Amino acid sequence: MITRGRLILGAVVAVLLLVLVGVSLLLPRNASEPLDPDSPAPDGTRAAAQVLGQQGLSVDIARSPDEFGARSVAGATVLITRPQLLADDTLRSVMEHAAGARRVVVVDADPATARAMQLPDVQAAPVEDAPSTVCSVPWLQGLRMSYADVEYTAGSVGASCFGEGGSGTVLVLPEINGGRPETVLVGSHAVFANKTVVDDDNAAIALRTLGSADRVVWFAPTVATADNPLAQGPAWPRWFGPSVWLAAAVAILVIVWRARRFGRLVPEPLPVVVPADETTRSRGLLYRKAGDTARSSRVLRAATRGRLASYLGLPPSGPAGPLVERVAHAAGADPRDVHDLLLGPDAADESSMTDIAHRLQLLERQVRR
Amino acid sequence: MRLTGRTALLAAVGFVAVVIHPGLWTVFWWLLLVAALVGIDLWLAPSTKSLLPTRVPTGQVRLGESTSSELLVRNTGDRTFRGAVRDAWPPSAGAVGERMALRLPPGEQARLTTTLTPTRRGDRRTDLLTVRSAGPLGLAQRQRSTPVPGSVRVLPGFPSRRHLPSKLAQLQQLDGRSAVRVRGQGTEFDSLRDYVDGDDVRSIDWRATARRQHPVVRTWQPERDRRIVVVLDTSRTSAGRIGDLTRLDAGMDATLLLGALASRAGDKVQFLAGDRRVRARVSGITDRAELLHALVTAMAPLEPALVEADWSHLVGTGLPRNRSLVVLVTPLEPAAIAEGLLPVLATLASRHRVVVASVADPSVRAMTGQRDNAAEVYDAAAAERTELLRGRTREALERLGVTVLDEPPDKLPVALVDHYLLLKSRGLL
Repeated sequence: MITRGRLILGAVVAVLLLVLVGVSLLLPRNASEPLDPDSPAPDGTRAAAQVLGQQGLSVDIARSPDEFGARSVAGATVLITRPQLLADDTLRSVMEHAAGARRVVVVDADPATARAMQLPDVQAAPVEDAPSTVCSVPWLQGLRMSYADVEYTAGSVGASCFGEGGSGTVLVLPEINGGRPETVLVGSHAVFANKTVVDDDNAAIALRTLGSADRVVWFAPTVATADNPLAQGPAWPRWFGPSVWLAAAVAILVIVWRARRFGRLVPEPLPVVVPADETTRSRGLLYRKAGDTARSSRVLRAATRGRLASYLGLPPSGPAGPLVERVAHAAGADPRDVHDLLLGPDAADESSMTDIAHRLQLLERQVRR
Repeated sequence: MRLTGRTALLAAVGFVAVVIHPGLWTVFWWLLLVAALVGIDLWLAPSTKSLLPTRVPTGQVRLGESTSSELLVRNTGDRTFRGAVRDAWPPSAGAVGERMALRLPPGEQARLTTTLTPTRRGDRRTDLLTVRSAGPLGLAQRQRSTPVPGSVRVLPGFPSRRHLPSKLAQLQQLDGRSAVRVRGQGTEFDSLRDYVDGDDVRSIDWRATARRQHPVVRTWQPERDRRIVVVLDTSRTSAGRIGDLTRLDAGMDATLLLGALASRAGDKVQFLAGDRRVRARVSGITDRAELLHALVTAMAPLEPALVEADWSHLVGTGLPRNRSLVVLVTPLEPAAIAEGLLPVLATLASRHRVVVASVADPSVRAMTGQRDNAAEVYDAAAAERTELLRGRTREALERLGVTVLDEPPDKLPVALVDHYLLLKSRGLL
């Protein structure tokens, strides 16, 4: 039955469901992390990492700032992907830790990241066209990059590649003694990603960038280990938190509304009632628990004897002889069998008791035929 | 106080406000607004005390039939009352429509009707009357419960009433046959009439024949104005349930049929029910319709009590000195009979004609025939044992000259009445 109350209840539930569905649609789906060295997805970088390993380099993967901090980086190449996931403080300490490295490679650093990484004189701008082949970096000359995201411009020092007029998708900043190792900013994820690493000369660029030392420390922060609040995927809508509180309040109101009784429960004065055959069933249970086959068979025999005697017009507690004779005659059975059945020894077990019970029933039926 | 669904809905509308102005404060202010509106609504709702209820007394109803309970409510306030009223009855009163919406302008009166179809015999009392008064916004209601006492008496169903016409016909037949019968023990002189062929010549009244110059015979009728006392046992053994009803209910059914028939036959019927003490008594009523009504009214509130019957007390207080037919409606429970009834029965049977009407349990008899596996055979043996013990008790009673009727609930009323008719036809009352 649809009442007004149920309609309102249904409406409230529908609103709550809509909110839930909306939130679940807005949630980020982070099944595989882009540029992760273990990810075989098109935007992963397992191909690059495995090729480096096959070339005899040891690839050491760190995913959280703590893990990275525990790695020794002396004389190694440090690769940092997705630096946007890290907070400024973390980036700073990462750069401090990487100070002993031979070379630091940063993929797709944006201006804010560059500032946090103590690279203040680096400008970054998005790239619209295909990257050019102009190059002033000796170990990258003659190569062609398939795709670029960002173009960097250095202030005074540094060589650039794949760009014109002092800017380039790859920017190489020379080492500063005691402060900073050689730093390479790569403004293209396509160089390392599984899907595009084989395009043009991307693989060569990747290998030359990372292969300068015999060890690579690969720092690939994930969404799970990210600590930059601005970079943790799409945030919850701002109204979501308050909506949860409001939903809770509505739920409480619905509970209060439905829980209030229209007057108290009325007690029913119940009389004492027991099944009339309860004592008989209990007696049966008692016989069964005791396994008293002897008594059961005695009772059954006595009952049958009594009924047959009254049916045949004999005194109920008279001698057994005439009864057996009359019964055998009426049933057309052997008097000895009838005597055994009506007056035989008590049943020793349940199967013989059941057998006696059946035969007594049969005998009565035969006599009354 | 009570909130309605509208309050929850109004609070839910706050989602719009939250989406427009996200923030916890929006939620807080919205809920505060809702609370304020609820408060205003409660303040504006008329007081529940402005509704003045009075109950119209509810009469009696036979079990299985319907009646209605009426409630008059007057709005003594100066504002229109909007809301609902619940007249609470216990579940076994079978109330339909006990929650009633109500809109009552000031000074007016409304009649609220609840249909009752009781499912159990006895007195059913109302519980509290609950009044809800809604505010103009319909967000909140005031609620208050007050006792407005009332009750309905549910009379025994008397299902064996359907046997009454055929048994009355038998009774009339008995009367007619007795009119031509020879005078015998237990018959009384009825009237004189002309002799017709086939009349017994021994019944010719010679003195009247001499006066009238043609043969006149005396007619006889069964004795009238005999006393019948039915004693209904309400002790622990009457609490046994057979099918849907207790033994007590089955006994009432039998008592009612006997009472109805015996009062038609011109006998005086007395009724007594009790266990350790007398719980109901009907005596000295001669009018037929009144007797039946008195019987059902006396029986209605009876319930089995978990005590042993005190037969010497019951029999000692209620029975007439003259010879009567005493019907004891009590189960044939060996232990209870042996301890309680047998000692007093000897003297009782010497002074009165005693019939013990016992409600048998057909399931016990059915158990004796179930012998398919060992567990059933044990049960069958137990049932045989029960039957055997009942049989012995029966024999002990019959040795005292007591007639024992041990029948299942649906057969007992007819068996009892048949026995009564038999006694009457033989003039043995």
